[in-house]
Amino acid sequence: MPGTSPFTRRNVLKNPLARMLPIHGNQQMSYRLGETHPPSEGLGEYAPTWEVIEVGLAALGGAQARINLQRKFTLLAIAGQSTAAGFEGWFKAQFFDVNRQRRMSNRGSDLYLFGGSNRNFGTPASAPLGWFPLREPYVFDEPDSQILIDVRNLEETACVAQIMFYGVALRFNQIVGDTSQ
Amino acid sequence: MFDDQFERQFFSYVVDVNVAGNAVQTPVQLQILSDADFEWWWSMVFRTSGSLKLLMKEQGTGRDFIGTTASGTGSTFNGVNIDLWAGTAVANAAFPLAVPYVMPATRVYSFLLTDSSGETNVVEIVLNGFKLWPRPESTQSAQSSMQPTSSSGQ
Repeated sequence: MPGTSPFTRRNVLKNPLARMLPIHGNQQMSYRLGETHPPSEGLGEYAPTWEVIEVGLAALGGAQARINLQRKFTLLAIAGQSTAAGFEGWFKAQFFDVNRQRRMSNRGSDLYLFGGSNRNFGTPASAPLGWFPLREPYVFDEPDSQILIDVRNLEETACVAQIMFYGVALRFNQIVGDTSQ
Repeated sequence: MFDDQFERQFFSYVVDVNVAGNAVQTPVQLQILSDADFEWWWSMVFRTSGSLKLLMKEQGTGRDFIGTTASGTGSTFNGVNIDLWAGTAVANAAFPLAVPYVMPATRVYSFLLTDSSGETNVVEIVLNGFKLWPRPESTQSAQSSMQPTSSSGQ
């Protein structure tokens, strides 16, 4: 679909105060991605996709999981949560781009850094979470790409951890105009 | 500046549902109105308990927006934790898609909600975006006919 930026289109009124909307700075940056990388720039046939892993972790235990990504999965944001009731549901995770053999961090990072405030979703009526939007999208453009996730529980109680990768992807049977894709 | 011949009107599709305590995959459907396609930009959610999971599917194409290919719990995958998907604007947790998605008119979207709080969960899901109104032919032709006139007058 050509063009989706509502701010740069003819016959659309621009409110000069729009940039003062009280939304979080990261969200604004993420929203701007839609302007700098609009679907007309090649993402027109893509659809939003939330790839989720959910792992049960023993006390101080760990686990690994792989996600088989849909075609041309383009990672835009990461978030994580755990049921542990200890110190803010503390767990670490490392991500790997399997096909390119790339690590995405030099060591495991605390997932609450990605999850915003109040990670413990077992708490009723807790405040909604934040997430971590990538400043620039990361494209898994190798065929049959995979993300490998290594999760470590840092709590002394068992928990269920969930990590979400938000992005856009082509379906396996999607036909796009650009035959190079 | 590009022009795709659509007028955009801000619009919100709102889905209200009460999920019974411990209910598994309670379905609720949203049908895009037949008058215009909808360009989805933001998601917002209010819920009374965060112990809630969500799956979203597109009827017609069979597209699963939320999925997993790995699960270490050995139990059925009931979706993403609702607070990872979206939250309220007040809490700075409205989720921007960054790359919008066009939902065709009349298409039906299914939300499957799973509660684990044990109590009735009052949920509201809001999809924000724009209705895509095709610009009338007369407006387009008027604009195109005006351009040569103004250029010839210069």
